[in-house]
Amino acid sequence: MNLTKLFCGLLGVLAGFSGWGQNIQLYDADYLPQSLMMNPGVDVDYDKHFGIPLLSGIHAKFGSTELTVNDIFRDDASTTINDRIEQAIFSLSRKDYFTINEQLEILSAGWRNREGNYLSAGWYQETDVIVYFPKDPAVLAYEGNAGNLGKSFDLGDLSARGEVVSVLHFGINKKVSRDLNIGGRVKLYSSMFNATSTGNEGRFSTTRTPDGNNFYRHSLRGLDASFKMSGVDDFRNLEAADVISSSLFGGNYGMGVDVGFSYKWDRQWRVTASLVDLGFIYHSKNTREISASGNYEFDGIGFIYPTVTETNEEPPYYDQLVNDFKANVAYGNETGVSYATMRPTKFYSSLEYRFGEPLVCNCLNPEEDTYRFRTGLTLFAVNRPRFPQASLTGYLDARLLSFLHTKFTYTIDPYTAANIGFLVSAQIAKFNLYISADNVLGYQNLAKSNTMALQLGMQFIINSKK
Amino acid sequence: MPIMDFYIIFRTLSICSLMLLATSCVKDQDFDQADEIVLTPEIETDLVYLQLTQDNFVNSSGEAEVSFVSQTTNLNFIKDGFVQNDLSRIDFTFDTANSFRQPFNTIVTFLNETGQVTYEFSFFVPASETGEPVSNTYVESIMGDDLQRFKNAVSLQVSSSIILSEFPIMGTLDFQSKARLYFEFN
Repeated sequence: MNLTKLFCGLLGVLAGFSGWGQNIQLYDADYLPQSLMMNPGVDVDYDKHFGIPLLSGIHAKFGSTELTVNDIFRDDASTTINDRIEQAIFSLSRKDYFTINEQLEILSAGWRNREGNYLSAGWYQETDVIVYFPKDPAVLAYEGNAGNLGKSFDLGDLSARGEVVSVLHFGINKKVSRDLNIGGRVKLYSSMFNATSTGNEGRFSTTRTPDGNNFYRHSLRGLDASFKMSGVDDFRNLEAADVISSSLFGGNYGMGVDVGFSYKWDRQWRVTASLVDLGFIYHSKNTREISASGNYEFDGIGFIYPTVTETNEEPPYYDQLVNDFKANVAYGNETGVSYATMRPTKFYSSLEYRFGEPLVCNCLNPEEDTYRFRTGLTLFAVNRPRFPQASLTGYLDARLLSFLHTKFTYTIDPYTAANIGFLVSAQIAKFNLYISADNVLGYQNLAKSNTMALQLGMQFIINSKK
Repeated sequence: MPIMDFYIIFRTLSICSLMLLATSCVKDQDFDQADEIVLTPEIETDLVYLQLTQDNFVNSSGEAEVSFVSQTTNLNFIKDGFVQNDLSRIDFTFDTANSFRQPFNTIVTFLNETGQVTYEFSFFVPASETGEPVSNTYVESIMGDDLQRFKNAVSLQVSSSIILSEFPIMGTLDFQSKARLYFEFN
């Protein structure tokens, strides 16, 4: 393998993608069924919906906590690309990460039953990847140990997880009282592919030893690292039919739930919260685990010359060295192992205030009045291998016309301090078309953008009251 | 702010946002620069170490019986792909501390699989005049055509010859070695 390409690929990865299942603009957008996937307890006004297969929800998001494509590939004669790579490696920290999230709704439908509860079900596919910048291994690979004598490299900086899952789900949304909606959703996960290397430990150092046998002591201490994967043993033999069959019958299954509520404080104030993807996947089919653990110290090969009185056979020094290493550092490459992974659980919560002229005046029940404008704050957090990622979004949602909703958001997140997003949803009779995007300022030049998210879809939404 | 103003602002922003989305692009980037990427890590590693005493040269009567000693080890990592393809230079450093009152001639030989010499060099280890250890450092840099010959090796032999003098053979020779490997990955 070309190591440079591998290294640059890793760096490219750092250019970073980050995201989660749906655009944050869709949270609390209760006029769209996709908001049920972010909070099953959202206040649902419509009576039926069904998505156009494969087109009802297409979501992709990328972002970067530090680096952009422009930082590496800008057309700038005053510096070389190698200077920029070096600068990037040293400006990034182990806290910087890359994630990518893609979600595709395959089937989506919902209906209100006789009891007035709104039921929804569907099938979607999701890709979720997170790779933390392996700071110390990257410095070691880029510079070598020669300029870093005495430095203890933390091999635990290697942390990554990626998965492709297919999800069948069924949810129920219940209006408990005039003010409170609750909801839950059960999910059956079928993992198509999983690769996990988290919780690694170990340190490597090269230290001078003035009183030692040789110049240095190379130490590998506390190594405990593993890489687990399931679903696909060899990508080279992967065929389209395998991908389709593994989406439902891959053999690596899991379960999860979503729960949430929406509470009307009064006519204008609302509070909501939800937990999404509280679940796990158990992997036992087409699995492999590569692991290494142990301690080792090396200071060279000690030659033992025969004395005049005791001639001895020349030992197989190199073989002894290799055997000694193997005896101290256990290496495993096993198939058929079993392991479980937790889904990246998301938490959403919002506080919303509605204002402006009432669009629908319900004289019998003023609590049902709807206002043209909504504003509020949405808190989001997702559980990640090292620490949760969080964001805070302020938004303003307006129903511009009877068929047109628009929402603008301003998000504070780890990527940028000026993340402005929007959502436009048009309801033409029963047909709904929506598009939302994050960090719209970054679209002027995507290479300079730290984050970008796009979601669009089309579906039918039926409201018998209208 | 009047509600109508909100309405106008929203409509304008919505249209602008959609236009921005439609005209998004990647500008002022030169992806051909990827061909110029070179990574140049330098790896410092210990090599072999040894200690010679008079027991390696004289018998129980103190008479010199052996004047040349040698040991060999495989260095199979030289055949690894990244060494063969991406090693651009290697510097060997040898430190000696000699308390013998005799100097040594040390020969470092790299051998291929059939035992033929692919690269060889030697250096002189000065004698101690007082019996106190005398330190000496020798550096051998291998690059260019020499490096190609070196890459054909699979084993390393270190031989030392004691150069006899009128003084009794007594003392120690401590020998340390390391290598700095310069890589160019592109």
